[in-house]
Amino acid sequence: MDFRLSQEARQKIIDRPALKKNIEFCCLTQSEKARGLKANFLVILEDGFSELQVLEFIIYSNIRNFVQNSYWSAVDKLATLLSLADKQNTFFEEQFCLFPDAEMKFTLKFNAETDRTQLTKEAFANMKMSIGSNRTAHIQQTIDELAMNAQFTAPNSGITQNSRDSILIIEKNKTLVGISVVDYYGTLDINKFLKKIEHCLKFGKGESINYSQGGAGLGASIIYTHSDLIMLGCEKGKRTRVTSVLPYNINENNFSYIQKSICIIDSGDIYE
Amino acid sequence: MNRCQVKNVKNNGVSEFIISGSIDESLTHYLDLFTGEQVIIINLDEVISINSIGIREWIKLMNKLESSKIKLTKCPKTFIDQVNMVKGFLPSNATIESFYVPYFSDLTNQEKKILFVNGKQFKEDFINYEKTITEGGIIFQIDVVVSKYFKFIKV
Repeated sequence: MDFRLSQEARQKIIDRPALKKNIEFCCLTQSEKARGLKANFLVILEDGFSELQVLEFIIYSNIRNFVQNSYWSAVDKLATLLSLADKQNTFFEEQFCLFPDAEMKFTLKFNAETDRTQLTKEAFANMKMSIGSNRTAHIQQTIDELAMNAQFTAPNSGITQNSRDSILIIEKNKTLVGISVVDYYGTLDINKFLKKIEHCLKFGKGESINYSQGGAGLGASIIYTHSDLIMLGCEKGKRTRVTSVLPYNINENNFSYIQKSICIIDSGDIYE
Repeated sequence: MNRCQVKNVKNNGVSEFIISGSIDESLTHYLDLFTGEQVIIINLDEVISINSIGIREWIKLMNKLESSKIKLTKCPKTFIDQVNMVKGFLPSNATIESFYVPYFSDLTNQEKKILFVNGKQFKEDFINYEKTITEGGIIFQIDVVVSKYFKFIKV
């Protein structure tokens, strides 16, 4: 299994009129020039980049979208990005759809008091998936880590007064599950989130554990490891959305073929 | 699926701790239950998942039991994954006595867990596994990346 596209195939994607009109593409050889730009939809469309390379590119450049072809095709990822072109704030809304061909979409509200095991159980029942199966373990872990961030990390990151429940949004098509959590604290430090993953990938999970109070510092890495794409957005003091898209019902060996993508949804103050 | 629960039973004078549910932040409440006896058996048969805080709490537990000989039994895949990925998750005073290997039939979408026992299917530096098994006429294929999953066995 190889998701890499030829140069010609990538060029064909770039040349699609609808994409060309709204998305500025660049390849890595242009990246130095691109770093000076501040286009919302500057996209690196590449192939064959490791999970660490993709991550470091996002952390250390001004480019916010690194897209690779994978279980979720590059074309479909770009179409989803395109749907946000004129209205990036839509990303934070429940009605924002990842998959135009979604077979299922539902939301579950939760707060700091909610038992996450029950939340996960309900999500699995709605998805008609069996909990505890080897094939669904990635989904279960991702839901748990995303929900835990909203329950504990978000309220402890500065803003403590918030009466709105967080929302777990699940979308599913034939091959992919999209798991999103929206919280109304708006405290996610995206750069810090990405750097935690970088530390885990470079030095290992054992060397990255936070032994003091609060989170263990491994959740972001667990989410990224399972994902085909992660999308991150934060409106400071208002709301945060973290989305993970991952394939389901594939064997573990096929997970290793995933080419990672990262998209940072602009709220204007991410790198300020 | 329940949050983490721990039960302690005595078998011929040896303490066996049975952990069930999800190893997460709720393991913290049970840390005092574990006392530093000479030999401790930890049965993980009913563990469903381990989250990021669970990884940290498990390492804290292992540190607390550093003077005991720890025997881990019926380790599920989610546990073995952490053994292979997280330094310190399986300290030198702990041994895996048995663990599960998942198999899957793409034809029937059925899962099967086969228990590998120390001294039979594996030893410290030896592993004997079948890529496929047949049960009731159904062929099941091993559902792990072999080089990754058996990494803790230093073949």
